[in-house]
Amino acid sequence: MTSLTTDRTQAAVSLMESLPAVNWDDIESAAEVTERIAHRLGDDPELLNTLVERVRYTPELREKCECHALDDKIVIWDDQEKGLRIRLRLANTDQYERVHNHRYSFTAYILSGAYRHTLYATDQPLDETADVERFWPYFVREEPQGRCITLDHEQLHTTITEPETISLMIQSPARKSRAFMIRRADGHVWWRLGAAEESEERRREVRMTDERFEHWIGRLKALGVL
Amino acid sequence: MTIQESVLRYGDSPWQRVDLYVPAEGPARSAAVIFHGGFWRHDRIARDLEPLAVALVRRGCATAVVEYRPAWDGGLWPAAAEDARTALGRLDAGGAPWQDATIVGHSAGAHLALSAVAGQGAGRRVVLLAPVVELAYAAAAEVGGKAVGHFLAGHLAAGGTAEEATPRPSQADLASLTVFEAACDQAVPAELTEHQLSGWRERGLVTDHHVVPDARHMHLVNPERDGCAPVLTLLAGAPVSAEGSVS
Repeated sequence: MTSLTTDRTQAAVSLMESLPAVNWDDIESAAEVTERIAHRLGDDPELLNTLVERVRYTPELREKCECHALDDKIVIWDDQEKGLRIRLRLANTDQYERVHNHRYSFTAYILSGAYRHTLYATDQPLDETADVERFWPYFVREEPQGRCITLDHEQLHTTITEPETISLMIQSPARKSRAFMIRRADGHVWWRLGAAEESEERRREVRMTDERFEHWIGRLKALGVL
Repeated sequence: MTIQESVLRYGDSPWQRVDLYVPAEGPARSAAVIFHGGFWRHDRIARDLEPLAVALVRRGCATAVVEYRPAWDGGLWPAAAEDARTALGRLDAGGAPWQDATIVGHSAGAHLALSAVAGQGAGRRVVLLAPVVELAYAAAAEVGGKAVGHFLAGHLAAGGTAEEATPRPSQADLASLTVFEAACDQAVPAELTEHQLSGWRERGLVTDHHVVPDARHMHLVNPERDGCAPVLTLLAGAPVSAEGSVS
């Protein structure tokens, strides 16, 4: 690394260390703080680039970078004590309607692309006995580039995105051990566990390869995110 | 009692605002301007003090809660202190009830409260709750972790000192100085409070000092906690009126 790069990295780390502890128990308060953090980072491509480049030689972050069926993710900061895991969500394909909640509350800042965002209500238990016909959309909104949204971990929703929709995500520590998911098209109901509860085999499956990591850095630069 | 809520903006940043809470019916009996804590990085924000503001208004005390820029979003020293001074100046310019308000600072907000009044010669009543003001001592004791270092990063890099960033109000600035210390404070050590008190006394600032038994750091600003009762009494001096709504 050049001394300029080192200086930039040190400045970026110092800024990240100065971020606050987030009170996720009060979602309105958490939204106010995390949406400003999201803007502070997302509106500064050079800073974001420095943080993403740092992931390459920060093994504890690099090993958290993953590829999933619909999204890839690059984790750029993880401070569980302050309630701050910050990552890029990278939509990798056309999405389908997969109603889900989360293990954590979060703020998403859309840096490129857009979501069609739908919130759902249900009278069903959130387990294998759920009748997928009884999940009703009650709020549908286009979330354009530049929009910030904050969601409680219990909220059922879908975000349908175009490929390469990029979001900066700030998420709370886990609030529960597994997230609930349904696919309305075929009635499939399943769960997503946290990394700590996944098998070694599953961890190997989802870990982002170096090739994929480089692909995303190139695409993020081309999209003007970095 | 109905509470009227409004916002006063004093700059372009979304943080540069004051949340105002006043009784809808008739003038307030007293007023308070509060600076929240959170180690200049917003571990706490103005919104978190809304229950305190509502409790004060129900006791007849109009309340302004000042929001300001955190260190990571434009508020590196001296910017947050300039925000505090600007916000107080805007409130004072608005006349009653704010120009006679008691100035209150909780935790690191005490540093900003004193920064806002120091050098103004306005003879303000000041109440500090679990104050973090003496920055060199606070940094050495790692109060708030690395918070002081982050807050002063640019100033220190330019050759400045923590002493220079510590407000030094004069007797002309203060009509009174009251300090509440939480007996079980987990964020501010008693040694820091004692160090600050002895410094203020040495400089001739009359200081009332109250130790609130069994209270932790946030209890002093949480009206649901017993530790907040003496603070409410001092600022509002009146019992709570009937339950009411916020408009």
